[in-house]
Amino acid sequence: VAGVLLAGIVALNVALLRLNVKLDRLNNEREKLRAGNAAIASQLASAAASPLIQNLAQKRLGLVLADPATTRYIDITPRSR
Amino acid sequence: VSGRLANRRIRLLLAIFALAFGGTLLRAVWLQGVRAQSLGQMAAKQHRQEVTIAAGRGAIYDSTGVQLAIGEQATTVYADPMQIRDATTIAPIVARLLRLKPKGVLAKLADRRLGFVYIERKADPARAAALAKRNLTGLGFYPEERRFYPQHSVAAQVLGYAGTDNHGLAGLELSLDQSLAGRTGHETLVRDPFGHVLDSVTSTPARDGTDAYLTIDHTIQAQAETVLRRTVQRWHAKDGTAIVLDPRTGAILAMAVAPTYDANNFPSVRRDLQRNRTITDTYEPGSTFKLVTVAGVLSTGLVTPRSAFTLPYEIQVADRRIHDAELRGTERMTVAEILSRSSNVGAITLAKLLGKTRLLDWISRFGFGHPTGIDYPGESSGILPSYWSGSSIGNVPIGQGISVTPMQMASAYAAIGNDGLWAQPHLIDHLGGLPRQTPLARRRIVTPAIARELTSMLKNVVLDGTGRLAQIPGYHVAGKTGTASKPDAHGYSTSKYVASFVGFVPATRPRLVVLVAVDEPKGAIWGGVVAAPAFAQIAQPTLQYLEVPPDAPLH
Repeated sequence: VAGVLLAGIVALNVALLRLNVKLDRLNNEREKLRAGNAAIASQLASAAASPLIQNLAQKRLGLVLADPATTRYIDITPRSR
Repeated sequence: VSGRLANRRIRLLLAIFALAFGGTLLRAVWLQGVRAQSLGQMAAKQHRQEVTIAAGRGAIYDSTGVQLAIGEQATTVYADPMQIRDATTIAPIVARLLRLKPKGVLAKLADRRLGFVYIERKADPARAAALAKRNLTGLGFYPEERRFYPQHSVAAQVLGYAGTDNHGLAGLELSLDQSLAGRTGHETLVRDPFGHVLDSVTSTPARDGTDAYLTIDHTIQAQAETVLRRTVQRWHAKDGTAIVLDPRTGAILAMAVAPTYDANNFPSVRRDLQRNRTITDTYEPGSTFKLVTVAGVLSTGLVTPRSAFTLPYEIQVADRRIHDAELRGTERMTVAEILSRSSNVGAITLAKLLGKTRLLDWISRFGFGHPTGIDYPGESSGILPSYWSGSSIGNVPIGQGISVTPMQMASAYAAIGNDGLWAQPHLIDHLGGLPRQTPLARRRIVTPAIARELTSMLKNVVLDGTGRLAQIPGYHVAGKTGTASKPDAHGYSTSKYVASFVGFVPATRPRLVVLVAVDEPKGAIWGGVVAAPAFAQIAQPTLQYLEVPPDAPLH
């Protein structure tokens, strides 16, 4: 009985060790994913900057901002009868 | 005989075993009993590791949710020179992969007196990974967060920067450091000889910093910076500042300083360029300050906008003779005309009516001489005259002998645009998911009726006065030009000026207050020539961007 209990304790410890090693590996993976996520977030933030988009639109497509003087506003509030 | 010999040998063997067992037992008692504590500590040192878990620094967002400052992962590369076998071979490899100077790397790796040296803090993770692949003995790597400003130069002076240890050192990064920094965590790990984690004994998780949301809009900010940069270049000026704010709430939409810099390169940028001059620096405002005197005389009922005065070209005040900017004969001008034509003699005449005490009261009431309370570090109060001489009543009403910050001036005009109600200017909308904790101050400066009268006068400045170049098709603009000679060792300079324009638009229902101040322009010095066009160039696309309907016919 003592031998079986001893073997059980050893098996439990081995399983715990394996679990901890796996946990460590997953933690490392999580850190890598976080780093990758942060890198993508910074790329996205740079790419979303409107001055950059404006610049690219002008250089690649020849687009320019609309002349504010040509913008027309329509009053859609209902008129009183 | 042989049997006795055998017995003796057995006894000897028994004695040897007994001795060996006894020795082992004693050794075991010695190790497990007497030296148990010290050996246990040594083992713990070898297997256990105290790890500090860095908290992620909170991001800074603009009002549209675009990130202005974020944390990105970097890798710190260090070395143990005592373990480096051949520094001369390794140094060029490290230098090439990390793009560092080989001489500097060699000096660090060759210093065998040290057990730890940083090769590069917060290195590019891809380059560090390439170096790690080489498996060079004596080199180590660990991840660290690096502050990154994805908009580069946009709002660089406003944001400030965080240093190598990820703590704010200037600007909003400094003032919000407590919220942005978060709280570091701690963990005690048990590792095997290969470095694998076997167990986590104690663990306190890190708490990431809180995100900050600003009132600044990066599109308006970028536009203001572009216009300001071009204006400074066009007039070969020393520097320039611009502010765009919403007069209804005091929310700052843009705060530009030229020349600017890429916030990611802050260590190599001159300290004076890093200052947010709109808040920390003062200037003598010149004619934009005439608003205070006019508001004072109107509010106290001494005059109406139509009250007329006979004004000579020049006036004697104590030992000074002060004249108008443009040569003219003696004329009769109304209060409205005094403001629209920016008459120095007229403003001094009105100030004399008001008197010293009431003038100082009105200066204080408009917030000059006091910090606005903006949520930004290092705000200046401005400088009020410390000594009131006989000529002060001639200087102060025309914005000489008094220094203000661009922020104070913009918020004073914002109050007029907001029906006479002053709203505390602010940059931070909220922190994290929580609404703003401290309420914003509001106070009445002039009555709505006086604010409307002043607005009407300021509209004339742009329609028919010194600020014509600030006109925007489709919108009524109200504003005032300022051309102030800079004080120097001999009194006032005849070659160095600050040209400014401050105004609001649409004048009938103001949505924007824009201030532009250009320091030491060359070629032209007038606020109406140098700063007024910049006002229009900032305000016009901003009105379109914010979809503000026009309040005037286009033609």
